Amino acid sequence: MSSETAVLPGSPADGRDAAVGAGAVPPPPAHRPGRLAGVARRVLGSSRYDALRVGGKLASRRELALPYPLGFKLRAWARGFTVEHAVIYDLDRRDAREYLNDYARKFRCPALNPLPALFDHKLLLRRLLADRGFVQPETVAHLTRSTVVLDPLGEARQVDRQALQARLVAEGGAYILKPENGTYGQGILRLEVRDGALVARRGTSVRPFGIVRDAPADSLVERLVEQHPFWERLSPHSVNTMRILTLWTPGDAEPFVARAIQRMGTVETAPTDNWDGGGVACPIDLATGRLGPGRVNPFRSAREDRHYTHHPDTGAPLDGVELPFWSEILATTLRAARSLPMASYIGWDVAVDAAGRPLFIEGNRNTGVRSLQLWSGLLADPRVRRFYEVSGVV
Amino acid sequence: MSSEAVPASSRAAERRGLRGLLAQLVSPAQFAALRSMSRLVTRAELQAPLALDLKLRGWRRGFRASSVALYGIEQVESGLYVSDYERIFRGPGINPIPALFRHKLLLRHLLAERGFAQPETVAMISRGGGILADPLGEPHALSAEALVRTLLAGEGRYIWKREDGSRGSGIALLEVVDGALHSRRGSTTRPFRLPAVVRLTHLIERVVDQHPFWAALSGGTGANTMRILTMWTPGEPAPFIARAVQRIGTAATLPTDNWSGGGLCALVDLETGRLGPGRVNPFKSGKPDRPYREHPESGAQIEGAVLPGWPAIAEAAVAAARALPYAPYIGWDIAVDRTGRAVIIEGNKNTDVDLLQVHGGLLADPAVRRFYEAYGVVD
Repeated sequence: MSSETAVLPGSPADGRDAAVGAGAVPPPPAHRPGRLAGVARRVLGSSRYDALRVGGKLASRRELALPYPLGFKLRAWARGFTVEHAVIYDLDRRDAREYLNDYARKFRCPALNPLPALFDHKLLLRRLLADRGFVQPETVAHLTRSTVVLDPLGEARQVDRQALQARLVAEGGAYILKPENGTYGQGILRLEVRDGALVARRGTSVRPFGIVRDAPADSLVERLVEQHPFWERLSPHSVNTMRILTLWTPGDAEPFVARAIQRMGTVETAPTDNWDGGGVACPIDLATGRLGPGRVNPFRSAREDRHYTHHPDTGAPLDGVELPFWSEILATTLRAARSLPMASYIGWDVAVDAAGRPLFIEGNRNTGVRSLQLWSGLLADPRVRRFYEVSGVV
Repeated sequence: MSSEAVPASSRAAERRGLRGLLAQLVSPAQFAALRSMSRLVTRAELQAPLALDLKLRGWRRGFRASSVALYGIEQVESGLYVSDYERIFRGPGINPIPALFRHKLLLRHLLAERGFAQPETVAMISRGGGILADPLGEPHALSAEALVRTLLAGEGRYIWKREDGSRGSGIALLEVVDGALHSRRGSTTRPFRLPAVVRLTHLIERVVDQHPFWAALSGGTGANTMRILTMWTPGEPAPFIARAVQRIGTAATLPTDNWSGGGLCALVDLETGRLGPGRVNPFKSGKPDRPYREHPESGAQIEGAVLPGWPAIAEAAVAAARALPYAPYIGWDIAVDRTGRAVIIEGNKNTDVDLLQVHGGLLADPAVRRFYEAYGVVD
């Protein structure tokens, strides 16, 4: 292993021999500084150089504008964290080495999954999971630039947009329209039939919607999941999903669940439950399925950042509540991870339908980690740390 | 926005700025000519060995000098051929999920689930060097040494290729010679060492043990695959085969049978599976451009030979296209194994059309023209 491998200052991997035994994966090709960078590195010393390099990549204009002392910001950047995350994780009072930092997530984690397209295109993952019998939302149609494929995972009949519109109106109910290749809940609309016409809901706004006129190309129409009453009670504004992170350490026989959280929408986040959009997230105790207290994102939500023992809109109790079907949820998610051996790092969005069946909304190839690390760092768990180390991320 | 593809002819009306102004000033045909010339004419085109007036006549219709030479100027001007401009600049817009074809493992995974025969994927070597054996079957991690042992014990021949490669780039044939792995490309053979670190994900697959009929086409070496083009026109209940050709490798193309690398290709009669004469690409093969009734090296019959089991092969291609409704335009590479099964080697999202059209323009078939029109590829 080259001594020039970019190792974050203070990280325990610093100076450690990266050889991990036969069959294990050598870390990805290391960062090699150019000539000028080589000089800078010698002048500054390698840990100060790395701090600068990482800081330079993280310090955006938005970061600079945040109302925190410069010293705090510099400390955050030097340790590979954005200021926002240093605040959310409360890094001045915690051990930063226990957290997966933003530099690693942004620049190293994308290499973990060799087939990013599997996750970038929802239809592909959905096809594979459907073939293996996993329950997913019903994919009603795939809209492309030139055509509409009805029931793309089943009968796959091509129709035009008028026909899709007529069918949605005739069947009634609620639908989700989302980009086929989207992430982070951008561009997601909830469609409903009202008085014989389609309307779109996003947040609190409702407007008329025509498939022919308004639906962008390369999108999916899926039937809104009818969630189990337990989750419906948490918040009726959204389908409330768990984000479950599965890891498969190279050389290991089985994947494992690293962490799970329960997300809930609020009035503002409908129809999604995005934590970054202002939703609430609770940790799930992996052994028992018991929820911890909820938190909101202080930078993206108008609400106060405190521990919520009850949902701020619905008043549903959160802290200490046990999720129904938890062992089945865990087992199903692990089975799904095992069925995709070419993806070792998946952030699953899992809902539970009215019948109590765990259902995969989607999989993410480079999950955001802030909501997963709200209560403690991912790297505090030795098994999780080993995954990231063996894969060359930390 | 209309539910149907916007016809290319009406797109001119929507242009803005300088291009819009230009579109107003000249006739649609002149505009199309200017557009294709501005995008096709490169230094290589200018230097191509063809009379300038023929080049000009080709360019204004969207054909490169090589295509004019290959098809003939009367054919180029007949309006029955898909042009280079249309293929290069409009073809990529047909398939909404191109990644499906860029990543061989992804397509393979989807087809395997639906029971289509494909070459056995022996191992996936990830960026960084992690090795996953049998990724589509019983996946398990393997050390480099164990993988080499498996390959040596396997008694087969293997293909080493990039997971996201196309056009045969980086492909090597791995063979066991004197108890050690060797890679072969063309006529050169050298010892093969599994790289400790790969920049891009690679696959190792077992070479298809091909049916004696296909093995005999090129005299026993190299794979000989068909390129079968399937189309699924919006509004149609099922896809169809637009054209099929049989590619036949030569000594120069080993281990592939690439037509652009110097191989032969013969038109397959879609009804009967009977082959037409073989054709070469005169610019890439160094062989004279004439109809080849027999293979120039092996002497095997080409013209008039009937592909054994053609109906089942055609059926497999259509069924595979049917299984991928989000990919309406696929150029399939299909081999036939010893037992007579059609084996899908890979799918291409925007197939070369020269090897298909050297046998006649694709647009002569009204169904094919309708497909390209629906996707705005031809006007």
